[in-house]
Formats: sequence, C-alpha cells, structure tokens
Amino acid sequence: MKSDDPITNLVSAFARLPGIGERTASRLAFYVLNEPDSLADDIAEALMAVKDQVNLCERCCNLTQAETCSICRAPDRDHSTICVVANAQDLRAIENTGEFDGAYHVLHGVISPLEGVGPDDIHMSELLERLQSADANGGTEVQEVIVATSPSVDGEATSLYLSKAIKPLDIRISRIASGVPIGSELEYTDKSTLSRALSERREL
Amino acid sequence: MAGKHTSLVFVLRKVEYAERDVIATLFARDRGRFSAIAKNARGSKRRFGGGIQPMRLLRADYTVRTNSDLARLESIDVREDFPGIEGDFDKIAFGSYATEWTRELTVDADPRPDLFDLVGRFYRRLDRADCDPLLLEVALRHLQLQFFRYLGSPPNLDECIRCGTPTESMQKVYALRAGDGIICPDCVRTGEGVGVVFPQTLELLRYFRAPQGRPPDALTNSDALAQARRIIDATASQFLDRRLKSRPTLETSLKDPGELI
Repeated sequence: MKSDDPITNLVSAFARLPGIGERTASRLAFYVLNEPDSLADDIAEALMAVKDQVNLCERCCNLTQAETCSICRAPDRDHSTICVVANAQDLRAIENTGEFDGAYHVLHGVISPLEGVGPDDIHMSELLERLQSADANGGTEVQEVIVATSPSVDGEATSLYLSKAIKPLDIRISRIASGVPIGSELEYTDKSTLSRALSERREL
Repeated sequence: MAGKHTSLVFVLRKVEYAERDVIATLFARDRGRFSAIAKNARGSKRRFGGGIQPMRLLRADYTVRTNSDLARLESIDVREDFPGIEGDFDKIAFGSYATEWTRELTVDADPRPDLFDLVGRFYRRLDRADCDPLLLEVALRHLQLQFFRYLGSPPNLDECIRCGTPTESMQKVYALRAGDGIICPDCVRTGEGVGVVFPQTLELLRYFRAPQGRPPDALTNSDALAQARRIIDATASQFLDRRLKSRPTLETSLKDPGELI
C-alpha cells in the first residue's frame, strides 16, 4: 500500500527489486535524494524508456524494440534450428560464442516445481506453436530443437518436459552437453558433474 | 551455537540473491532446518561447483554467526546424488513435492535425524524406482504417513479413535475429515464431518504405511486411491495452512488424479 511519504514509497519500490533488501533499498533511496536532480531524471527516463520501447519479439520472445528481433529477421541464419534458453542473458552468452547460427526461443524462466512455476507460467506455448506451424516460425519448418537450459533440477525439469512435448512432433531434439569445465581440475570437480561427464563421454 | 560446523544436509530451497550469491534453506541431520547464505555460489567452481541443488545429499561446511539468523555456507561436497530423479520429469515432480513437504513440516533448529534419514530413503527409493506413477505415489504416501508418525499424529487406521474397536470388526467405517483417522458409527457425533471409507481404501492406506510385498489390487482402484489421497490430505491439513507450490506439478504426474482436495 502506498504511503503519503515519498521516501517510504521509494524505499518500498527499490525493495521490490530482486536481491535488494530493506536496508539496501533505504541506502539507494537516500543516495538518490542527496544527488542532483539530474540523476533521478535520468533513472526515471531510462526506466520509462525500457518499459515503453522494449518488448518481446513476437516470434522468439527475445527482448527487442521492433516487432521481431534482429536474430529472427536475419536472412542468413538457420531458422529451422531453434535453441531454447531460459532468459535473454543466456541467449547473449550463446551468441558470444559465435558457434550458433540458428534461431532462439526465450522461455523467460524455467519450470520449477518447488517454486510453483509450471509450463503455463513461461513462454512454452509460443515455442510449441512455432514447432507445429511454419507460419508461426516466419515460414520455415523447424527441424531441430536444442535445449540450452542450465544443468540444475529446474533446468532438467524444463528439458524433460520439452522432450515429452516435442517427441510426437517428429522434430529432432537435443540437450547441450554438460561436464567438466574447461580449465578446471578433475579433483575439484563435484561427483555429479564427473558422473555425468563420464556417462556422456565422447569417442576420440 | 556460533562457530564453524560440518553437517550432512539436504537443500530444501535455493534462492538466488544479489549478483552471485545463493540463500539456501538446508535440513541438517544434526541441526534441523536452517538458512545459509553461500557467497559467490554462482561463480565458485571449487567451493560449490553448482552442487547446491535440492534432492542431493551434501556435506556442508558452514559458519553460524552470533548476530545473524543466516549461517554462512563456506563450501559443500556432494556425497550422494540421484541421477535417476533428475532424469525423469515425474520423479522430479514427486521429489519436489516431498522436498517442499519436508520444508513445511520441519522447524528451524530442531534436529530430527529420523526425518532426515526418512527423506534420504525416499530420494533413494525414487532414484531406483521404475517410472511408474503408481509406484512413485506409493513411495510418496509412505513418506507422508511416516512423517505423521514421527511428528506424533498418524491417522489411526486400525481402530476407532474414540472407543478403540478394531476396524476389522466394524460393518461400516468412517474417516474423520479433521484427519485423525477412523471412527465407528457408534462414536460419530452429530455435525462431525465424516465420510464412509471403502474397505479397499483402508487396505491401500495400510499398504502405504508399510509397503512390503506385492501392491494390493486396490492400488489400481481409482475410487480407493482418490479416497486414500483425501484422507492423507486431511491429516496433512493439520500441519499445513496452505496448498504446497509444487502440488500442481505433482498433479500432472499422478496417475488418474481424480478429485483432489
């Protein structure tokens, strides 16, 4: 509930952000208050702009300022292969590798039974629509889906759910590999990671 | 007790905090439930290595601070993982429900090695079980009934909770909606919410309590199964004041979910 006190309202607003508790929110609020007006103007303007101008790509749900994002519009990318990621940061991480030239689908979350997040709470239905109809994928039929969610319980739940939903569609589905990180030492690698690295070993 | 400690723990919840930290609700064999912050957990490969996950048995090194309710998790070592659970959606659904159940039915700083071992046995059983929703449900219901027993409030399935008449000698058996168990027609008071219990339901509940040998045919009787679920839910409502968040996912994995409370 809003208070009559603008400082209290600002502290409450900051405290709604993830990872910010009451104490940090209060510190931020007083910092803004003690700085020149231009800081508050710049923050307010940037916040409004991001809400006004940035929306979800109507095809892949990536963040964009247009109706479809630059990746979905790119004619030189392989739109028959879709890499499914949990969020836009993961998309950026994969783009930075320069190894993938297909399209993406951003779920904006993962299935998390413990947190009560189910398939209907993330952008899963848009993905299934793209897989079922070439029209929903810019006219290209999807041949392969690569699930690139984290190897956590929630990431696995999402991947398993997708596998179940996609199998009947006769589309190839794969999961990104997981195992020992490059540059790390085996003795410090945890048991689960090592077990998986062994079971998913590749032939030389 | 302030200072450095090492315990066997299960992770009951994990919340990402700030840039790279994680706040975890842990259930320690020798300490009970407590919360701890793992600084830089999302970046550290050596100290945590992505191991802070539910449904894994960890050895945790942590520091309890005098001026904070939040312990500091220094490092973990995965002692036992359950790849069979992580490789099957239904098993994740059942395991998540049991994990949330444990989080809700335990209290802070109350060491319960009996419940800790029970949860460990459940994960092991789930890990090895065939991917048959009915068998997974047997494991879950056994866990729930054992929890009630350890917490001192199991539903009485063998005799009338008021007069002690054995259920075998009753023509008709009722279950109290309050979740205490079975009551005979002579002891039922006016206005007391009761439902008639099928003999197969009782058979099923007893099997859930001690799942030895071949499952009874009642396991495939959807009416008996639905009623057994409702009786367990009624007892659970004595401990839970809300519907568990993992319940909708569990319901998608149950065989013949029917009408659940």
